Amino acid sequence: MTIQPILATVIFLVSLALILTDKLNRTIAATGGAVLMVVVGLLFGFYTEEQAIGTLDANTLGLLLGMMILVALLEPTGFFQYLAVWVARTSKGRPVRLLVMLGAVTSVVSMFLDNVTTVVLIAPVTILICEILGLNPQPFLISEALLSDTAGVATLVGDPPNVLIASAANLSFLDFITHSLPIVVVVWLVALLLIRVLFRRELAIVPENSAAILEFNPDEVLKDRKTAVKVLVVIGVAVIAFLFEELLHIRPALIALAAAATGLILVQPDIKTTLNRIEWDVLLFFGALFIMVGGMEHAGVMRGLSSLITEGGSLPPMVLGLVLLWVVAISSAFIDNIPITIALIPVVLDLAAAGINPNPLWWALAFGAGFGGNGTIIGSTANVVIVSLSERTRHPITASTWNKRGLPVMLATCATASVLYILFFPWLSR
Amino acid sequence: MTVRRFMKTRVISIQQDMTIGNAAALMREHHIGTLPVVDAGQKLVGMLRLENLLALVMPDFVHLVDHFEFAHNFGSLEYTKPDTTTLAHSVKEFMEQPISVQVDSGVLRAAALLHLRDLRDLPVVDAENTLVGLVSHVDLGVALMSDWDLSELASDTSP
Repeated sequence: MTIQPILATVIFLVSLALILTDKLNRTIAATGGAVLMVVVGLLFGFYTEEQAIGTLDANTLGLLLGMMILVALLEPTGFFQYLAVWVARTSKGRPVRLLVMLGAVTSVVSMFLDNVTTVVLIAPVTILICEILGLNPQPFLISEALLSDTAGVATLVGDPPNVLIASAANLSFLDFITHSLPIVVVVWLVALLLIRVLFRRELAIVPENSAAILEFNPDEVLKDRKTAVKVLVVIGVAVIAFLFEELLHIRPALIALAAAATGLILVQPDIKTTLNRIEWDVLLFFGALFIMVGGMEHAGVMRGLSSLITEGGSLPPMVLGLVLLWVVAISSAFIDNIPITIALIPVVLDLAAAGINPNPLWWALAFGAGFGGNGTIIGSTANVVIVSLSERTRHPITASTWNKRGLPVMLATCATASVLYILFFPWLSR
Repeated sequence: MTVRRFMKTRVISIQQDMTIGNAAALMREHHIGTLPVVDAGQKLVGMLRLENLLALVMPDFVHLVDHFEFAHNFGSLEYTKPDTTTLAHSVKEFMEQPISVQVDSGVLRAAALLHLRDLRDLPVVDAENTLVGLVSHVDLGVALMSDWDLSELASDTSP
């Protein structure tokens, strides 16, 4: 074995370790790693600047940027809070109904928009609703994180790993609707049922003050109805356009950026304020990871990995898919699922080149990356946000709370997904 | 114009080893919002404000949402009371670093300090940091207006 693959792997693993141990912010660690990868690549002759630039997947970055701009336009209108308040009033303050409805609304929104933003904006209102009702907000907050993460797997734009997978595998929005959505619906229902059982004691409490909830006026929450309607119409048109992307021969990034541009023209916000809401750190993180993983690919690391898989056992394709699903799920519970996905995409592409049908593997990767994050307090950004918000209340969510409530949900969702994966394997292979 | 002329010299203060309950009782009895905290030698060591005590009953969401006007009724939260163990905590645990002025400080400077720190009252100390008085934002505001020429205006607006 030559030195290049070892050097490239070490750079990647050290950056990952720095992120994992909280020594460095993930974007800073990845940016440092990316630059180091290019410098070392130039010195040892396995990576050029042109190759590094070539790894930046414009389709992924454009789609993410477009969707982020739309969310940035919608955020200040109060639309997200409006949904939570409307749900609270409709539920009449009954705990189970409130949990199901809050979970459902958060899930539907995060199928199309960034689930971290959704959770960031809905969770504080959830705490308000629970406090007025005299309920412990924990079950509601935890279920919002778990259900929105689960639902995000359903669509191409629901979750960053899906965007990456779709771009690499040439999967369309419609492919996700026909392959991922049906499975996610079942998995989501299983997650909801399990949450209902795990929190049965907290949800049995009859709130003392449901009358206060009935007096809520959602219209007072929606600060800018006009803008909200404009942006929602634009998002709606974009989703319809996503469905026809194959027919129109365009990629989702163009649709998202076109929608963002239309939104900007219609709303004409203060552009600096709007751009401040964009998660530039996430985009930079993606770019840096593309460059780092590209370096490993050019150094021959991925080829080594995939030949290890093909030579190792010649596993039947279904078993290979299930192994991938669980390996990705378990690693996603502890590490960010974005670097895992970016690192595994070239491996799957190499396996495809070696003659293995990659289609079922793409779905295994998507399910593993999406459902695995539910397992721990740090498994997904939504979990981290929920936990840090809860720390400012009288009922902080601890790692042990999560292990009792989130981990079983992660295991149940992955198990359900595995069963459905086996049942629908022929369909997923198409 | 220095604060010496406008300050209240009969100041209600509290010792740092007293309890939060004692502080609340003093505020209620004297209808005041700021309690300077002093040591045995009357030196100013801290400040306890109404807000510090009200934080005990303030719901968590108040710090988390940017507005809650749509909630017209806080329900059972309206009747939140701190329990006896909370009220037994010492003043020392809850007090803030004192922000004070010297007796010979200018009135405008004191008013600017109140404005900057978003306070209602300022303890006044001497050169040895001994508490000698207290000025409220009303004391300072009225003091600043004391030499404004309002005579003409007054005759114009009188019926």
